[in-house]
Amino acid sequence: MDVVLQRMTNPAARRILFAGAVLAAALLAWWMPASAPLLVLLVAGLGFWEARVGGDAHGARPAADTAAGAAGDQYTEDLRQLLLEVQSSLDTEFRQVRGDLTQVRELVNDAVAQLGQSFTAVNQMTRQQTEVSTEVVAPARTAEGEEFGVRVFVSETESMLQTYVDTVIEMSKQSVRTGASIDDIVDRMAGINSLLDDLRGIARQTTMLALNASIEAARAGEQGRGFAVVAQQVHQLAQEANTFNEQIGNQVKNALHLTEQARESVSTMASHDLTESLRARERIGQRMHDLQLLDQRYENGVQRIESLSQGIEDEIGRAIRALQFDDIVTQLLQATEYGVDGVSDYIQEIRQILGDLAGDRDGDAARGETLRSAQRALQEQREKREQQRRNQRVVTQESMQEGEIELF
Amino acid sequence: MPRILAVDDSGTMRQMVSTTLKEAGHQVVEAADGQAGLEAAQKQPFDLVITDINMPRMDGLELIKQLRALPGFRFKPILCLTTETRQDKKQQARANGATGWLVKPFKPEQLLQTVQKVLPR
Repeated sequence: MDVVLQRMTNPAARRILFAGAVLAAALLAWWMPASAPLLVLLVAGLGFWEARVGGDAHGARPAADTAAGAAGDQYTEDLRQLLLEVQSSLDTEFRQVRGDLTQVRELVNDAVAQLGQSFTAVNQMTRQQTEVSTEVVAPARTAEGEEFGVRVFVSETESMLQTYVDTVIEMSKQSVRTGASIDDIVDRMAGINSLLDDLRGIARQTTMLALNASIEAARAGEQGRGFAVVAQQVHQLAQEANTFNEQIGNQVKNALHLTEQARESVSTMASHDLTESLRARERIGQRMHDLQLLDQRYENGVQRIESLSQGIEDEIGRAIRALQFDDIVTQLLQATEYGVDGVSDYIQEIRQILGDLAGDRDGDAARGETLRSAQRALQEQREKREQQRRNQRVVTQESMQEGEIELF
Repeated sequence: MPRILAVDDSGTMRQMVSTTLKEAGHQVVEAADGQAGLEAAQKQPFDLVITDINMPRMDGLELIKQLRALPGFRFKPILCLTTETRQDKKQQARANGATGWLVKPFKPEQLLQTVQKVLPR
């Protein structure tokens, strides 16, 4: 302890120590602003100590001069070692900080690259999803190039159905008219039967006439023989006419029967088909309406999907803008790394200066010159750094809002 | 289909620019710095160049100057897309022949609108 105190009575050593402490404190305060008050207290304490020990040393100068001279070299060496230790500690810290910064930059770059790829893939898949949805409900094309879809199908089917129903209705009306015609035919056939009855009466009368003629011919004897032949032929003719009437009557009866059957068929067909067709039309119309509702639902769904896809695209756009923080933050980290390197160089320069001061044995005048020279060197270094800083890129973005656009 | 050269030392930025432009139907070639961009431009024609300013090897300002010296790029639009906000850099880019100046980050639709404005019709 005595040796240390003796060393501390060396004025040059005390000044070097104090100057070193001030510089180190300034650096630490710059690097870690939170420690500034503590460092101010430390430097103030050292200043107080320097003044006090210096005063004591002046009071005891005759006795201390010899001891100070003897311990000066050792003390200077101890001081140099202390400064080396300080520098070594700061170098370690700077290396750690620089390594951390580099690691942060690489991690950010890697994460953002992956996020970018992911968003790009999501964007593409969303777009494809929209295209598929649109294709599902979009009308297809026939071989002839005509548009064909549910809406077209419904429209055309309704049109065809209407044509069919109109045809059936027309057929029904036609059937009614046909029924009426058949009724007329039946009436006419009844008239034919009446005429045939008249013909049968005529044939009977003719037979009676022929019989009377034969009787009269027989009564006339030889003179009536020729007349008897005529009467015989008339009788035969009446019989043939009667037979012919019977045949016509049978034919008319058959025709009347068939006509009755036709009238019933036409009547049944007319009433039956119209009812069924109208029911079928109603049922198909309802199904077509349901189909249209279903188609509308699909279309609404696709529109909703398209709307959601647009929303996703907008969000991805925002993500693309936000992901650009990678470039901005990388540049800021590079600037910080550059700053760390600058502080490291600055400390190196200070270490050199303190080393020069500690090794300077030519008295206070020489040390003063060393200090002034060191000040000039530091000033030059600061100006050089400021120049380099001016040439460095400047990142002023404080948010991820889009930047300005200017066309020249 | 317009061919666009995107020059940026940030892989993320190249990807973002490329994705945005490709989605709009453009063909995009990427380059990682000014030197690579210049070499790409010497090999094939482009309708538009979008370049960063601060890049290693060759920065955007030098790239613009070199491109303007190429016969095929004398009148082609060149947009700067950069974090740089300094007026002196912008003025230098303009003096070297840049067509426009976009500050990062960009909004995809705004980038597309700007590209549509400067692309030859």
